[in-house]
Amino acid sequence: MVEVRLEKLTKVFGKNTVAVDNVNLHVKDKEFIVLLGPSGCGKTTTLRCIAGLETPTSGNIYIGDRLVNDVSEKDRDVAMVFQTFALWPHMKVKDNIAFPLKMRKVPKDDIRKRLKETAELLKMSHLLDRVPGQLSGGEAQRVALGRAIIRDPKVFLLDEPLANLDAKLRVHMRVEVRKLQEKLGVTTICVTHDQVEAMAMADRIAVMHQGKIRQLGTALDLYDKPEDLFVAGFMGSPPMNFIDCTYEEEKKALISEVFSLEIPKNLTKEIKEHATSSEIILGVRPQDISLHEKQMPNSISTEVYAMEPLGSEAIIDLKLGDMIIKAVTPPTYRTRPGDTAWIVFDMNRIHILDKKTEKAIV
Amino acid sequence: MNSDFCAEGGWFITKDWLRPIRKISVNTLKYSILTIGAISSILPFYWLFISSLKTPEEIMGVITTWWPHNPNWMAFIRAWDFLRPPLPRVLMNSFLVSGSYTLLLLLGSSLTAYALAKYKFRGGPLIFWIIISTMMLPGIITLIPSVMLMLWFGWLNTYWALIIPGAVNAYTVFLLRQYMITIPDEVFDAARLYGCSEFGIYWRIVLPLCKPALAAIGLINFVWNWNDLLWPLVVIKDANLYTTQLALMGLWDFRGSLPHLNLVAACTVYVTLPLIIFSIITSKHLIKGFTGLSYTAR
Repeated sequence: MVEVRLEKLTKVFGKNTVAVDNVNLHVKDKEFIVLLGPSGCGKTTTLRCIAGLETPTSGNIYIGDRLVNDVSEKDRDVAMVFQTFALWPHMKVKDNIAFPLKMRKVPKDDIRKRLKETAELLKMSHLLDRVPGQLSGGEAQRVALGRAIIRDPKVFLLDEPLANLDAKLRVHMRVEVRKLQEKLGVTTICVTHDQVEAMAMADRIAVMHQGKIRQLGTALDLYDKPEDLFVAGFMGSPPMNFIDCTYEEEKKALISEVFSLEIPKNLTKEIKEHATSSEIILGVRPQDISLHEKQMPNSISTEVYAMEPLGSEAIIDLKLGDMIIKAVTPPTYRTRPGDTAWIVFDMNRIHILDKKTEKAIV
Repeated sequence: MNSDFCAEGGWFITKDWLRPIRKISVNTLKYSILTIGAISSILPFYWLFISSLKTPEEIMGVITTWWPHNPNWMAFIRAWDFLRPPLPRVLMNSFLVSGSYTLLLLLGSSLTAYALAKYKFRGGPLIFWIIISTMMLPGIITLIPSVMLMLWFGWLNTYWALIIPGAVNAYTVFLLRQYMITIPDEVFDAARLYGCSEFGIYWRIVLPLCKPALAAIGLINFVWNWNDLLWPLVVIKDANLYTTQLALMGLWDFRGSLPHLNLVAACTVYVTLPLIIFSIITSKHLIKGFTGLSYTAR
């Protein structure tokens, strides 16, 4: 059983650059957890603190039952795959992979045996005598993974492991990484800024922003039930549309500069109970907007601004007053910039957020 | 066919026939300059070599000969004992001094540069700038203080005086630091994480990665030290400790002229040869080191 626990982990660089701010996280045994967030949100620093490459300013890190705050990086029994792979270019692939074992003074026969097993597992036996300069991006990534798994670490730490690969290879490798983790059954913490990658690989995702974990949950939890404005905007592609509205109790409607939208009773009840004021933000995913050529009940008039035909779907930019919102339509939908489109929101899937606290109400 | 679009009349053909002529002209110019450069570099060595095969009279003769009338290889045999101390001793002294100096310089400079490039410690930038500022001092200014230091240490007229003072060099530290800065921290972090000690990182990762830089810097300094005359002249009295340049200088007789010019030339060939061999051995790394001192990951 190897769990990783972070208790009130804080890392401050210099005098007041807070990179990680009071983070609590419990990674279960054999779980694949992804720290997701934009650049500078503190996810890599968190990972480096777990690895022992950064010293936390405060808080505790447990690997298994052991408090590792004062344990050196090499004695934590963690392995890390770096964004740039960090292979040593002057060593052959086999020397790169066997390095962790050599450092532990493992007998040569054992090293040879485990090197062979690792190379077979990662299908790279033919690469062993090459140097990193002769490898493609995908091969280099496999070597970095090989170096990480060869000594059976308790925890895998992956720092943007797919960021340096081209788009096609990334799609392939994210499945490979997940499969490898399942096969080895090692507790894994991965860092990425790519939400698709996170959703594809993770058991649970921790969305980070400004050094804090904003929400922790499964991919679907985060997508369907974002707890605040940041998570709602970060998860999903294209991102969620946000429209500033005022809730009018008498009309049971959301009023914006350009529309008045009646909302179901269950929503009005939620707003009444949880909103701190009548100022709210309406969040609608582009996939939850349907377009019509004619006016429909509870529909809003917009003007088509631009179209992005993507093959499997089309993204339509719509002018709603002064703002542009995005809607996703089937690829067969035909329209042109300047046309009028009547849009209808799927009221069962809209999100209502408190403008003041930026927390989700519904 | 190369063609351009003409606004009035569609496509038209450019003066394609000019292109090969232009290419030939540029190449001719390029190779002419390179050939002149190569000849002017090789000519002194050639002149030195053929002079050692000539008689002193032929060397001093009014008519210049590009190949000796009667090539005589005896000078190369006689040169062996011609120098004071004998040539083997002189070469051994120079190898010992320049080799130790270069090794110490590379070791000390790379350790200093690694610390300055990759460790964050209080006063690090200040130390770096102090080291850099010493580069601004002309060497001649530090000559007398350096001799005084040698006197205090009791190192005058010893090998130490020839090896130690030059083995700390701000310029080398600067070059290596700049090279090491280009190596991503992750390369060192990975080594640290997988169980390498701090000295292990320096020995197993830093030094091999810096090989091109070390080769280039090593060669430049080895040659510089091998050819140095002023410092050995000041600190060495004992003829048994003479380095190549001091020994060659001893060939001037008291009237200020050089007798046996063919022997002098043969001695100089012997003295120059190790440098040429050393350059050839390190040429692979040298080219990389001289053409761009930066780390390449893959």
